[in-house]
Amino acid sequence: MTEHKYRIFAAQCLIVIGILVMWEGAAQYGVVNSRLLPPPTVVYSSLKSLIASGKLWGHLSITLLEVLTSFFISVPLGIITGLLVAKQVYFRRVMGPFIYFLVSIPKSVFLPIFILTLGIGFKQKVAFGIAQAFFIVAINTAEAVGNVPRELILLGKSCGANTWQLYTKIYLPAMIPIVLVGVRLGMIFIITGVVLSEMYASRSGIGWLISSWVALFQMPELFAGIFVASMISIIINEMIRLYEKRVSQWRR
Amino acid sequence: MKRELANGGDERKYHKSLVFVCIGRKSVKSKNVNCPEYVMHFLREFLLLGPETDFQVDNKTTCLKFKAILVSYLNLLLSIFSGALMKNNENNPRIVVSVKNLSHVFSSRTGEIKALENISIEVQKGEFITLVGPSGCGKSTALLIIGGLLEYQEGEVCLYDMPVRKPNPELVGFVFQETSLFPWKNAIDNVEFPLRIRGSSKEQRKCKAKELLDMMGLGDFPDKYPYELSGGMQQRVAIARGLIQNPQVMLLDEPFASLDEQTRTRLGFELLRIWSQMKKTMIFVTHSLTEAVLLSQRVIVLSARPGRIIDDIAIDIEYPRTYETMISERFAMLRDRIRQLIAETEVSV
Repeated sequence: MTEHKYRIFAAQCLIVIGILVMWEGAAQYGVVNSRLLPPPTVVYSSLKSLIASGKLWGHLSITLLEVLTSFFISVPLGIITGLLVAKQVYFRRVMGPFIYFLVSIPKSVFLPIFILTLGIGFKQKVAFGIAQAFFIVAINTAEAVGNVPRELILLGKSCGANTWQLYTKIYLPAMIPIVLVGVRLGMIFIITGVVLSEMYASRSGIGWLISSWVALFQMPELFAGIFVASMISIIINEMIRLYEKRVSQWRR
Repeated sequence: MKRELANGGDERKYHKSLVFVCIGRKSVKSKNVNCPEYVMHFLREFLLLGPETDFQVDNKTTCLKFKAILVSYLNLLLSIFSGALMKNNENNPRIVVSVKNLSHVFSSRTGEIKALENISIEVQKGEFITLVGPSGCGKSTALLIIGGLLEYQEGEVCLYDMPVRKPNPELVGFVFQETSLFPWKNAIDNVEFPLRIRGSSKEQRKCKAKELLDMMGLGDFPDKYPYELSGGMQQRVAIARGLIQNPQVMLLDEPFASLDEQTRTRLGFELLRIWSQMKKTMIFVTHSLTEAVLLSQRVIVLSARPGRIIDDIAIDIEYPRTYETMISERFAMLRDRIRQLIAETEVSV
C-alpha cells in the first residue's frame, strides 16, 4: 500500500519536472518566444527578487484581508439564510426562487455596478466577494438540512432535547460535511471575485499587480505573480479540505 | 391522603408514585443540584418506591437536594388533589399504555390522508405486543404518537394514566432502524446520548453506557463508529441506547428491518432475554410476521390505510422461545392466520 502511494508520488514529481524541463528547453532554444514565455529559471529569479523587495507582501496582505473579510461575513450570513430557507416554509416560498435564480447568474456581470456604487476600494472588493460566496453557501446549507435523517431528529426529540440541543447536537454535526463543501467552493469564488475586481479596477492587491505587469509587459514578474496567487488559493483550499476530511471521517 | 398512600402498597399505588417522582424530578432537574445517598433513600421510602424501582438517579452522583424533596412533595400533593391521575383505568391498575379511539390524519399537498382510524389498545405492564399490518397502514405512526413524537387530533393516548402530549424520555425508550445511530459518534457516545441531553455527569454517563454495551455483548467495541460495525451490532447499540434511561416502556419501530434473516432472529432472542430480565413493556412494530409471532405475547393486526385494528391475537406459545418454536405447528398456524388477515385487507383496497 505504502509502496503504491510512493510510486504515485514519484510519477507526479516526474510530471512536474518534465513540464518544467520542457518549458525551460523550449524557451532557451527559441522554440517559443522567451519574451512571451520566460523560462522557469528567469521566473524563479524574479520571484526571489519580488519576495526580497517586499513589494509583494503589501499587496498580498491587502488581497488576503479582503478575501478573509468577505469570507467571514458571507459564510455566517449564507448559513443562516440556508437554515431559514430550509426551516421556514414562508421564507422558502418567498425567497427560494430568488436565491436559486441568483446563484445561476455569473456575478462578474455585476462588477461594473459594484464599482459604480461602491468605488474601487476595500468596500467594493469585500462586497463583491460576499456576492460571490453567499448563494452557494446558502444553497448548500439548505441542502444539508434536508439530508439530516429523520430518525436522528425523532430520536433527539424522544430524548427530550430542546430546540437548541437539536440544532447543536444533531443538525450541526450531521450537516457539517455538506456545509463545508459549500464553504470551500465559496472560498474559491471569493478569491476569484476579489482578484478579478482588483484586476478590473483597483489601486492595490495582487490582482492589480498582475494586471499592471501585463500592461508593462513584465512577463517574468507576471508569471511569478500567477504562481504566488495560485499557491495562496491552493493552500487555503487545502486547509479547508483537510478540516472537512477531519470532521467528516464518519461519512466513509 | 398521605396515610392512604403510605398504607396502600399495592400495584396501583406503586405506579402512581412512580409518575409523581417523574413529575418531581422534571422540575428539579433544571436546577442541577447534587444530593447524598441518604436523601435518595429517604425519597425512595417516602414515595413508596420499591427497592428495585426506576428512580433513575445513579448511586454515585445523585441530583436531588432537600429543596428538591420539597418540590417533589409539592408536586405529589398537587397531583393527588388535582385528581388528574386518578380518573382513568380505575378498574385495571396494570395498564401502562392506553390508547382510546385514536384517529390521525396527515395533511399533505394532495389533500388529507387518514392514517389511523379509531385505534384502541391497552398494554399491560411487562407485556410484549407487536403491531403488524400492510405497509403504510400507520403502525409506525401509532408508535410515534404513543412516544409523544407526533401530535394526534382525535382520541386519547395515556402513559400511566397521564395524557401523552410530548416525549417522555424517562418513561419511554425508542429504538429505530439502524440509520438512527449518530454516524459521527462512536458506540459508547451513541449509547450515552440520552443522558447527555439530560445533563448527567460524565462518569455517570460512561459508567451506565459501558454497562449496557457489556450487556449487549459489545463491551469490546466502545470506540467503534457505526460504519465500523455490522448491521446487527449497530442495532445492539441502538437497543442499548434505548435502555439507558431505564424506561418502563420500549417502543421499537422496525428495529431489525434491514438485517438478514439469521441476525434478525438472533437479535430477536436477545431482545426477549432483555425483556424477561428487565421486565420492560415492549411495543414492537414490524412487517415480518415470523418475527411478530416469535417474539410477542399479543399481535395486533392493522388493516391497510386507514389503519384500523382488525384483530388482536394472543400468541399462546410458552416462553422461553427458541429456534424450535419456529418449527412448531402452533407457530405456523398463528403466523398463517395473521398472514391471511393481512392479505384480506389488502385485497379489499
